[in-house]
Amino acid sequence: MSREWPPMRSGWRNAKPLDVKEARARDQADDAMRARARVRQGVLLALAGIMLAGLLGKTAYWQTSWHTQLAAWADAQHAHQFTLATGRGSIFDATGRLLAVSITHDSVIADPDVIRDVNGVNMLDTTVANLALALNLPVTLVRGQLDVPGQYVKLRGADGATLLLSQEQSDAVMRLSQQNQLPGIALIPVVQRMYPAGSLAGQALGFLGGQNGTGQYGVEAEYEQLLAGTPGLLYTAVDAQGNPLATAQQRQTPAIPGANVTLTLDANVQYWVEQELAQTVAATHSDGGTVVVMDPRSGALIALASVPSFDPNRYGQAPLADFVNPAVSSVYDPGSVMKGITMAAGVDSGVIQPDTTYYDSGVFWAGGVGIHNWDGKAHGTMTMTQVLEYSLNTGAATVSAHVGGDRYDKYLAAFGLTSKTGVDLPSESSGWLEPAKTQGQRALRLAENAFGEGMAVTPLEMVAAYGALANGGVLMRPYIVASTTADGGGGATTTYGPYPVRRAVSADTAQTVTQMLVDSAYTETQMNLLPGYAVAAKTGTSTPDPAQPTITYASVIGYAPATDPRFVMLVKLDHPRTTIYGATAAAPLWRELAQQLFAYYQIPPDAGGQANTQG
Amino acid sequence: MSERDDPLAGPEEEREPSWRERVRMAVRTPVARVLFGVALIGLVAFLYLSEVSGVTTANDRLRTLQAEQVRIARQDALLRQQLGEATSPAYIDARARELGLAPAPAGTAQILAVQVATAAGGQS
Repeated sequence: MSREWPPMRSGWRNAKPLDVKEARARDQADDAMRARARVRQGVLLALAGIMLAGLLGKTAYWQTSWHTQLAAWADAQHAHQFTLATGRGSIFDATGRLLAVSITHDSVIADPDVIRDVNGVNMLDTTVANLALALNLPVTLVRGQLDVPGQYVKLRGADGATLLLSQEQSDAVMRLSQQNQLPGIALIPVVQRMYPAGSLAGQALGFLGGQNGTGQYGVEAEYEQLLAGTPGLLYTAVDAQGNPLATAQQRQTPAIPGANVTLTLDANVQYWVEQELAQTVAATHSDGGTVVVMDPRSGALIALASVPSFDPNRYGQAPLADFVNPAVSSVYDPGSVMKGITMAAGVDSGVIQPDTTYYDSGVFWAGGVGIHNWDGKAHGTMTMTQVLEYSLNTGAATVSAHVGGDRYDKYLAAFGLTSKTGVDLPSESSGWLEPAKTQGQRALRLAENAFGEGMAVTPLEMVAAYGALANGGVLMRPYIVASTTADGGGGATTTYGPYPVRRAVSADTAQTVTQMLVDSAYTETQMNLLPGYAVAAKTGTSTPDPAQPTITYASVIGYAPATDPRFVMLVKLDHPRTTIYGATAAAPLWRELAQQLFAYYQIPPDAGGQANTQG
Repeated sequence: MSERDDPLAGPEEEREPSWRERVRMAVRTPVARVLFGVALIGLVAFLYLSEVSGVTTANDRLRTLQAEQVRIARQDALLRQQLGEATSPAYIDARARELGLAPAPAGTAQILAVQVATAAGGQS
């Protein structure tokens, strides 16, 4: 096969012509070289193909198996998740008075290292001067806090507390920051829970505390989820300053603002009750006291006060024990106020009537133990109404014995005295009966329970039980929240209550016992000082430690007007010292508060100037 | 008789194209097409950038309004708190005492049930 030689290059012009052998050898060499080149090309092509296949494979692998993860990593580089804060709901009383509200202030944080090195320039003097001017603070105070080593300083006021700015101060700082006059200075919002009425209903309200500022005690804790709302989430791309881009795709879970809560408490009544109770506790040298006022028709709590209490605005200064609401969480020996319940059990079970008599020999034997009257006297033949009037332990024990242990315990349970009321407040305690194993112990406990010993109840349980007598025999669950309004007051309103629990006694029984209490109260508690009003009330004086008979719980519980009760009220004093009896220590306060309630609620007299049939 | 039919008339002179024809011809040239394409792309880009600019401006405005909303919400809460303090029973009681007022002794108020005349004119 002939081949044409390529034209000779200029350099070859003088070259000697090739002979045939040489040309053939060169041809062979060229062929070999081309063969090797083809092999190399083939190898390179194969390698490139393998690499391409590998790349394609790997790409497919990343796109299929790692798609979600890779997308997330990519988003993380330019997207940001924002928590959309939501405001905590406010709390109002039954008349619309504000009791709790969250307000936001700015606090100032500084980075002294940044201030001292703004592009190599120390801006401390300028920053201190500008900040002091904006905050109206002494320059020395600001300099003293910023001229320190470190990267984080929270500015404090002259009193040492974290400085919380007014709106004007915040605006001034923001303005200077936008003009780059405050390098290394930033504002951090601080949310404060404020209780405008101060200590009013402090134990019922509770407060915000803990690391995350959650509700502690009271309504704040019980309705934490509703009040706090639900923070939202915004997932979106951000600009260079970290601000969300409206043009970018966004995924958003809207924030749900906390609900506003309206209580059944009336701030006016609560205030009088707290004031009068504090005065009485001081006057009687008591260790403390509790007053509960409830609407027996619904179970709505009108006032819930205890002494000592605390100001939720300054809860840090109060002892821990004051946070607990004794009306809900503390039990006490109810004493003779239980005689009203005992009479109800007796009447409802048909073993007594108001005029049923028994002979009071001054002692009642139960389980081998002699039970005496509080005055140690024997009163002879007495009616059941007189048992209440003279508060005779022997008479009450006689009634409970006639009712029988099992049936009496059922009445205690029916009146809710051995279980929690279910009130919408945290840490509620339950009443309890003293354990009794032997027949004798059971007989003794039955006799003691009849006049409020050998058992313990919370003030709220006792109020609920008397509420059942007041409203015709139905036990109502006490409640403190009347309604909630979603979305910080802009949403739907949900109303709560009333919550009927069960019928404790028949309506006839409730009416009979009410009249017995009205008749006995005239003498025992001097309710004739409330002219025109029929008041059903009973006093109680219990001695938790028999070895110390002068250490008592003195109480009065009652409701009025008896013909159509608008309130049931318990006044309890813990260990009064000037006088130790319910009739003398607690009854004056009960009467005083009842008079104010009659006037406040404009309750007309129901007894035509003669409240009681017995005098 | 038209000019074209005149046998004495000389050869027909080339007619000046109308402006419509000129535009039609000019549009058909490659340069014109390129220019048209560039103009179209420019218009689309302009519209897009205008849109983005508008959204960005709205974004800034939104942020400003949100900040203002937060500011107003703060002021609202603060004012409500001040109102709550001013209407609290303790504050009113203290102010009343400062003004020389005192609560009436309990029991001095007399509540009377008044009989209301019925619509028919009789006494109920």
